Formats: sequence, C-alpha cells, structure tokens
Amino acid sequence: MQLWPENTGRASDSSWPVYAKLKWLLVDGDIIESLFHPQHERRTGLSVLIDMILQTSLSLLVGAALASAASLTVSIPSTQLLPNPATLPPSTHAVLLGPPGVRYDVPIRRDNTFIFPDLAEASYLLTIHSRDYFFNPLRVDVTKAGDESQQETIEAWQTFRGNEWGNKGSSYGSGIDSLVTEVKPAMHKAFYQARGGFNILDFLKSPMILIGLFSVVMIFGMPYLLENMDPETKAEFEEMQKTSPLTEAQNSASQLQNFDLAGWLAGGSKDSKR
Amino acid sequence: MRLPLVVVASALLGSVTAVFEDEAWNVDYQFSLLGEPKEDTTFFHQPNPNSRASLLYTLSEKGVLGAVNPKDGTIVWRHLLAPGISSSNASFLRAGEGQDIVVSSVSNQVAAWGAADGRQAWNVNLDGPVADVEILELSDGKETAGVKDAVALIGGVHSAVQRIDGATGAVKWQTKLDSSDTAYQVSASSTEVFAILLHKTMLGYVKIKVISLDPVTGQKTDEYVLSSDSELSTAETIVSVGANSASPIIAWTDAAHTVLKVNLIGTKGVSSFNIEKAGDKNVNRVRLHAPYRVNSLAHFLVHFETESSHWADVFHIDLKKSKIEKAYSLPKLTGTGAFSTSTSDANVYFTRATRDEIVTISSTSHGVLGKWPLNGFGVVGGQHEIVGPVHSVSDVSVKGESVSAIRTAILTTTGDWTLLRGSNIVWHRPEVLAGTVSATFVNPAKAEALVHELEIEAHSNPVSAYVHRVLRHVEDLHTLPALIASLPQKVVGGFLGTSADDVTSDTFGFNKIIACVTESGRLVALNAGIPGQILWSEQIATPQPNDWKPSFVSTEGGLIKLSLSDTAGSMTFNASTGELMANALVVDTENDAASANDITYTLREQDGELLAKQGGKVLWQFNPISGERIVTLTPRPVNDPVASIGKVLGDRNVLYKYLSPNSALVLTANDAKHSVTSYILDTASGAVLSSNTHNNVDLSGPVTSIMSENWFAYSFAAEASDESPKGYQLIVGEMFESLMPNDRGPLGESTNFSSVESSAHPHTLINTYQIPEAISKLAVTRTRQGITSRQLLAVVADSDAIVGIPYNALDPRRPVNRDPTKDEQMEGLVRYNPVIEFDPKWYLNHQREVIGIKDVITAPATIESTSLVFAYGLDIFGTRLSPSFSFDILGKDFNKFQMLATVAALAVLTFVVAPLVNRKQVDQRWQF
Repeated sequence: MQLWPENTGRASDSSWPVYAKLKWLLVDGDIIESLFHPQHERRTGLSVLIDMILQTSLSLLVGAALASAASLTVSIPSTQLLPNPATLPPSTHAVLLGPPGVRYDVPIRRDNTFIFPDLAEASYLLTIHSRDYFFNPLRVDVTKAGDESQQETIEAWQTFRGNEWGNKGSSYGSGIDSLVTEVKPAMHKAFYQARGGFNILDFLKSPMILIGLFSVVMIFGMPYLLENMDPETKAEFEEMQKTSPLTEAQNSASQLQNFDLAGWLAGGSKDSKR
Repeated sequence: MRLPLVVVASALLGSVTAVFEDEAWNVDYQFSLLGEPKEDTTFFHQPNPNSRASLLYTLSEKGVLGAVNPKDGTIVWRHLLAPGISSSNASFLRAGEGQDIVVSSVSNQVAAWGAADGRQAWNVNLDGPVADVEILELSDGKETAGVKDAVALIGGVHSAVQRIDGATGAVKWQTKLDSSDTAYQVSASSTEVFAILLHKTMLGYVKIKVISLDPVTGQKTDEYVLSSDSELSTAETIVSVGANSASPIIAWTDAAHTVLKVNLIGTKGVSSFNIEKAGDKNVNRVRLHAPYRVNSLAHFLVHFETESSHWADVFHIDLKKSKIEKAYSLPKLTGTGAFSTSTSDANVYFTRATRDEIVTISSTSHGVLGKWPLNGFGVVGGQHEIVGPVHSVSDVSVKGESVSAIRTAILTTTGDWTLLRGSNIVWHRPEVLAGTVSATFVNPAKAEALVHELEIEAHSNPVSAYVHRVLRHVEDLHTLPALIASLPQKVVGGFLGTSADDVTSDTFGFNKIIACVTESGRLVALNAGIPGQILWSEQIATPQPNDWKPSFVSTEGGLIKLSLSDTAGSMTFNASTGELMANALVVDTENDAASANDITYTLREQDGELLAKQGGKVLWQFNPISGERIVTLTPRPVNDPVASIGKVLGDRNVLYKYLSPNSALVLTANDAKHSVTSYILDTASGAVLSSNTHNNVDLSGPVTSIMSENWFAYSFAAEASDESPKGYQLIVGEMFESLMPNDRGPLGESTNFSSVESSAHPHTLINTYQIPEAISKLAVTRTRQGITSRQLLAVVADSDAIVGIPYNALDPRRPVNRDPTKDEQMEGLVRYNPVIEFDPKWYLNHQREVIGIKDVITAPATIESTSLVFAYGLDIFGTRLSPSFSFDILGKDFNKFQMLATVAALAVLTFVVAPLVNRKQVDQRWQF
C-alpha cells in the first residue's frame, strides 16, 4: 500500500542534469551488448532560466501551501562490492516506514538514487530492498528546526535490528529541509547451496580412511618387512614378541578360549597334562 | 553488526534447508505475469531511438507496467504500479515517437520510466485523479532537445490541465478549468491542446464540451459544446477521442448503435454515418482505430461488432475541407475479430486478425498487402470453445508494395497473450492466471481410481477380492504393449537421469493437478510436476461483480467440486480432462439436512463476533473485548498428520504436545490502543485456551497468522519507542500438555478427552523474533505422514520473495540468555537471538522475482520427504520442498556415475586379488 501526503503538487527534484544511462543495443529484441554512456543534457541558457523561474515560483507556491517539505535523497555509490550500481535491477526500491499509516515506497531511478520528496515530521525506518544485495537499515528523523522558521531538520543514522530504537549507530548526515546521503550495499545475496561433491583429497584426509589405509599397509607390509630383515634382527624381534605384553595377552586369551573345563574340574593342572 | 548475524544464522541453520544450484530453475517454475493487457495501453515501441529493435509495452488490467521481449515472450522489466487496482480504474501508458521513456499514470501519479531498463526517470504526484495523459508531439523549442513533454488532465473536484517537462517531470504550466464538468480526455493536434469534458444536462444526458488551450502558455483559447443534446445518455457510447494524429477526432454513437457521429476536434461540424445492421443482429460494440502520429495520413477505421460477426469501415479525412468521408468497407466475417493500426512514414496500415487469418490492408485502398492463414493460436481452450481474438497490436515492416514481415500480439478470448510472426506462433503467455482467486491441488482421476479399486479389494471377502484382483490385472493387460515399448527408454533414462526426473510415471506423486479459478470466470488446470504445462482451461461462468466468490468444496476421487458463490450451488469437473460432470446449481436441500450435525462457524462482520452453530442451535460465541475487532481466524488444517505425539528431548525424555484437532488461532486488533491480541480457541467448547497481548503495533501493516501441529505463528509491524525496536515481528508459540518431561499433566493415562468436560489447558511457550521485512502471508509445508520437519513459508512482498524458514530456527524452546546445555544441543536447539535474518538460501524463488503473491497452498507428495508448494496472486510460482532433505528419493545429490565406478573398481579389485589369495592359501597348506 502506498500512502502519500495530501498535497504533493511540487514536482520532484530536477537537479540531475548529468546521469548515467543504461543503453541497450537491441537487434530484434536481442540484447547484444550493453554500454554505459554518461549523457550530458544540453540546455540553452534561456530555457534553463525559464525553467528556474518556473521552478522557483512553483516551489514558492507549494511552499506556502505546505509547511512540511523535507526531502531525502539516498544514492547508491559505486563500491568494490558493487562497482556499477546501474546493474541493480529496476525492481530495487526503498521503503520509509513511519508512524502507523505512513509509508513511502519509491523505486530506484536512472541515476541510482531514491528520492522521497515530501516527508512529514516523524521518525522513519529506511530499508532498501534489492534482489541481489543487502543494505543496512537506517533511521531517518524529520524534526522541526529549533528556530521560528518553517524549516525542518532531517537526520539519518544507522540502526540495528533487534535493538531499541534509541540505539543509534554512526551518522549518515543531517541537513535543513533536505538531505542527500549514500548507502552502500552491505553484502551480496548468495541464493544457492553448493552440493558437497566428491573430492579425492578430502576423501583421503578423513581419519577413518587414514586408519584403514594404515592397517592395510600393516597387514600387507609387515610380512615383507619381516622377510627382508636380516636373521639376527629377526630372531631378536621374535624374542621380543614372545615377551611382549601384547602376545602374552594373546596367549592368555587363547588359554581362556581353549579352557579345558573337564581337566580343571578333575583337579589336573596344565603342567601335569603337558 | 549485521554481517556477523547473517553469517551466524547461515552457519547454524543454513545447512538445514536450502535451494540447491542444480535444482533451482528445474524443480521450480514460474509464470511471470502482467495481467491481461488493455487495448489502449499496449504497443510496440523502440526503447532506443537509434535502433530498430522494439519491445512490447503494456499496462495491464492488474496495474502492472511491463516490457516484454517480442522474440521469446520474456519480461524485460515490470513494475506493480498499483496493487489491488480493478480494471475499471483509469490507467494510462504513452510513449512518444523516438523517446527512450514511457509515461504511465495510475490514480494521481504520473511517472516516466526508462524504456530499456525500467528505471524511473521522474515521478509527479498531482492534486487529483488523472483523467488522461498524452505526449505532446509538437515542438515549441522550449523543451529539452529531443525530449517530448507530457500533458495531463486532472479530474476530480478541481479539474485542471498540466504540461509536464519530459526530461525532469517539472510542471511547466497548469491551467485550472474551473468547471463542474467531468474531465474526460485530453487530446493534442499539431498546434493546440484540447481538454474534453462531459457536461451533464438537466435531463440526465451528456454533452461533450471541448476546451482548447495554447500549448506554450496554457492559456484558454476557445471553449464550445458539441451539439449532441439528447444523443448521449452515458459516456460509455463515446467511441473514441483521438490524440496526436494529424487531425484528432471524437466519435460517439447513440445508445442503440444505429448512428455514428464524428467530429474533427477544433471544428464545430459533426458528420453522421448510419450504421448498417448485420441481418437481424444489432451492433453491440463500436471501436475506432486511428494512427497515433502527427505526420501520418488522416485515415481511421471503425470496427463494428455484433454477437456473431464483425466488419469495419475505413474513413478518410479531408483536412482542407474538414470533411470526413467513407473510403471503403472490409467484409463481414463471423466470429470475433481484432484490428490494429501501424504506421510507416506517412502511410497507415490496418491489420485485421480473425480466428482464421491475419490480413494487412493499406489505409488508402482495400487491396490486401499481406495475408497469413492461421491454424489456431496455440493456446489451450475449452472443449467446445472457439478461441478468437479480443484485441491485437501489430508491428508491420513494409518493403515496396507488400508487407515483408509482421508481428502481431493478440489477446485471445481464453485470456492468453500470443505473439505471431506471420502465421507462426512464437510464444503465448497465460495472462488469465494473473487473476487467480483460488487454487487447490487435486489427484489425477486415474490415481484416485486405483485407490478406489484397492479399497474394494480390502473390504470384501478373500475369494471375491482375489477374483476382483485377477480381473483387474487382465484389464491391465491391454496396456502391456505400450509398457514394453516404453521400457528401453525407461532403462536408458534410469541410467542417465535421476529418479526424480522421470515424468512418464508418477511414482512420487509430483504430478498433481493444480486447479485455479480466475476472476474472469475460467477454471485452469496446471500440472505441478511438469513446469509450465497447462492441462486444460474452461470458461465455467460469466462472473457477476458482486456474486462471484468461487471456492473449492472438495477434490475427492479426482473430481473438482466448486461452489460459485454464497447463494449459487456447485459444479463438478473431472480434474484430468476438465469435463463437466455434474451441475448442481440449485442448492441441494437433502444434503443440507444430512449435514445438520455439522458445526458451522460464522464470522459476522457487522458486530465482529465468531459464532458456532449446530443445526440452528448456537453452541457458543466469541465476542472480542470492546474496542477490538477480529483480524484473522486460523484453524488447524483439516488434514494435518502428526507423526509423534511428543517431542523427544536430548536426554530421551518426552515432552507431550498439545494436539487438539479443534484448536484455532484468532487475532484481534485494538485500533485505539494499537495492540494485537492472540487467542487460542477450542472450537468444540469455545473456551479460550491461551491469550497474549502485544502493544505498540502498527495496525496499518499486514497482520497474518498460521497454525499447524501444536504450534502457531503470527506477524505484524511494531511501532517504535525509545526502549523497543521498530520493524516487523514474528511470534511463534508452541503448546504442550505439560512442561514436565514424561508427564501429561491432568490428562494422565487417559486416551480420550472431551474439551467440553476437561479443563486441561495447554502450556504455551512463546518467542518473539524481529524480522527484516513485512510478511504478507504465512503458510506451512505439509507431508504425507508428518514425519518430515515442517517449514514455515512466508511471503515477503518487499523482496518479491517467498521465504521458507526452518522450524528449528523459530523453536520457542531456544534457550534465552544462556548457551544451550548438552542435552539441548543434542536436540538441535541454539541460543535465542532476537533477530532472524532471512538467509538468501531460504528464498524458495532464489533469483526469480515473484510479485503480487496473495496466497500459498501446499500439498503432500506420495513420498514422505516432499511437499508441493504453489503460490498465486499475480505471478504463479510452484516448487517442491524437502525440509529434511530428500531421504527417500535419489535426488540430484546422488552421483550415479560415482556409484557405478565404485562397483566397477571393486569388481576389478576382486578379480585381481582372487588369484593372489588363492595362491597364498595353497602355499599355506603346503609349506610348514
């Protein structure tokens, strides 16, 4: 729902004679190439003068009728994350959420700005919505200037979701009756989850596979190692194995398995049997 | 601050569910719609004056401004200018010759948009509703070089004419008309601007008043009334007011369409022409087509329509003598036809589209310049429906004496927008679906028939069941040859693709039919499994504005039962074919008597109370506290299977869910106190089980709610104070029988309980989350048995998206102000964070932009893991979701090649190792 103040007869700001224009080269509807040509509007001095006179007289007219006329211009600069803001889709828009019932929604313009021409006195939450990027939310306050004049102060700060409204971040500037500020994209939207694909290195790195490989090496490699040992070390090794607790445990285990219950009950001993 | 939050959110929860790159664009489908284009706001225009390539522009009946690529029918850009606009609202779209902007106007706003990129150039808010907008083709040297100004006529109480600078949107002059007459249209010739007003006489007739203005200063130069005393009873019989042509004209007829009167604007003479009758049928519509260029020939065409036929007369204007004379007639043809005007230099061409052919004629003589036979429009129509054109626009390129190429965009009677190049169909867009008011999922009749047969077998004695089964299989034998023929393809497909891609058989229940009923009275069926397939489309009714509230009653047995309005009865259709099965438009009183035991719930709008009645007896009523009004009423879904009656905790204890099938969530708003209160009602007893009040609510924003299983969720916009945050909030509550593990509270061991007698109230846990943007509609995924975890679907209109939020991100049992214990970690609970950022990976529509979504419906597939999702409103969007991943189907993540390679490697290994082992074993036996 779009709601506008009652009297908005004043035309929007015409202060952008230089604008970057997206130029499409179309051949039978096919977009072959898109180039960016900064275009300079050439105006004759006279027409500018007439325009200015018309504009001022008109704004005076409107100004008399309408006390509240604070305007906010938010532009999106070229940054490392978004080198060319002209690539933002035309559906990019900014929403100013004021007190109940006051909501302004404006689309992005050709010069990468959002213009809110007439703002009533209130505290607003500014959110920029774009398909491809996240933008930080801002708090915008429009208040009556301290002196007796009809002017208004407009100020903007960063704000944080989930924090109380009074918790303001760094200032985005302030102005009398109009404010021009820049908001940079904060983050690119990554929509897709990558599949955990098969990678031979990752596969080999996993501890399970490492343990498995080690045991394979031990099983197949040990006999060869033993065979290739010189007889003396081999004998030494066999001696060591006999006395090692591991083999003893094995022995005791085999004793337990081959336990001669009948013999034991008969009171015989192993030694005597042997 | 925000970046880490997003990262944390995605790290903790992002892995739960997301759109995979290889499934995006394949599993989901979308119709990016505009709505049915209006005749006078649709045209071909070159977005770049230096290039000959043109785009197709339209401002539709749904208030969507868009540019369509005529080559493939894709949207280049679009804007939803006025949500909720009705077709009767005035809206305009104009483009000046050789301009790189298009100028649109809706309600009191005039805006210019870059024709190529869709960015806004300027925007003006006027004092009253805009009655008309035109581009001034004349040049007076005052405007910016190469830019043409616009002139707007403001209606309402203080009608006025404004000239708007085409480069900046600044108002150059404004002339108040100071008259009580209704502003009708504005028109411009090469030297003057004319405002056409309608003056109402004492007798209730309408007189046409013309005021001419100086285009440079805006001074009023002349004012006169056309002599049409008792001819015009309403403004509806004014056929046309021309604009921007060499000699703008105004034409009107009498109420019976017997005489056509034409006036050259700027002169006072009126020419009359008798309208002939077509047999005994009266002409019921007259349309006028004139070129839109100042330098083109002053010729125009009048299109006459009767119920069964149409024809046209071409008129020439003699500018020197200010005389209008009929040049030639185009023959009468049966069926509907559409005419369009194109210009090339000064020449004017008329193109006639009928259901059989497209013909192009020069305005100077009746010789045919080009003729292209048509074999239908390539659209899906009803079974006995004859599809014809409603209106058309053409782009003609002429070489010498003949037309070398023609592109015609036709809106057909089925509500499809089709583009034909010559006689070839290039694309068609089902714009009728933009007006979908209700939709439902239906199982195909074939699948339902099998279910029915199996039920018969299950409920009869073994012998007859066996006979029945044998007979059924014998019956199935005749499908065997086709089955064998399709086997090789199936095997190859099985090896190369994944099982989810198989469209020939519907083992997984993805190919459900979606029935959509539109505000234009059509019933359209889509296939949920095959993206973009329209199965059938039928005109089922001619909607009356106040008596058209279609709703789906039942979808059992592959039949769609649809009630048309509150008073009318219902119609039944076969879901697979669209055949009308039964037409019970007279309300069946016997059936009503049978349903006397049903409880009916009525939400009375005038006193805002909720009433439950059984057979005329009032059971209970729910009256909100004074000052409150009911905003939403959300019952638990009728078909809401729950797999587990308890929640298993990390230490293997169980919390029992409060699962009453009769619970409903009611949200009430208090406009004076700016508060929202939620009530959980037991709809059997009418008792309030739990309630919560939220203060500081911005009630002008959307308030929406959902309920499923033992939890509920609702969302609203919160108003700021210094201590509380501003923005949008999502509240999630979960109900348990008791908060003690392994304890059912007062219910104890009982298996049944009566909500009338028992006083068992649920223990409700509630968490509030701050969300980045407004949710306009909530829905929840549904699976066959409810084993799969649920996902909350939220329509976020500002981002043109639908977000699927996993339930464990919302769980009200997330520990607050402390880290989760080991048991809680086992359960998957993470520490409570007041902000939930919508991770882009949760966007079901990923990079697509879905606009104007009003509702989202979900249905279970045959397999447990998957839920089908369908969203409608303006765009149509559908997808399949697996909230707990595809655990019972081999999806794209299953690498068939890797599996086969592993098996092959193991086989090779076995063959290589076998002789070695054999030798070793033999050696062991022989060596001691």
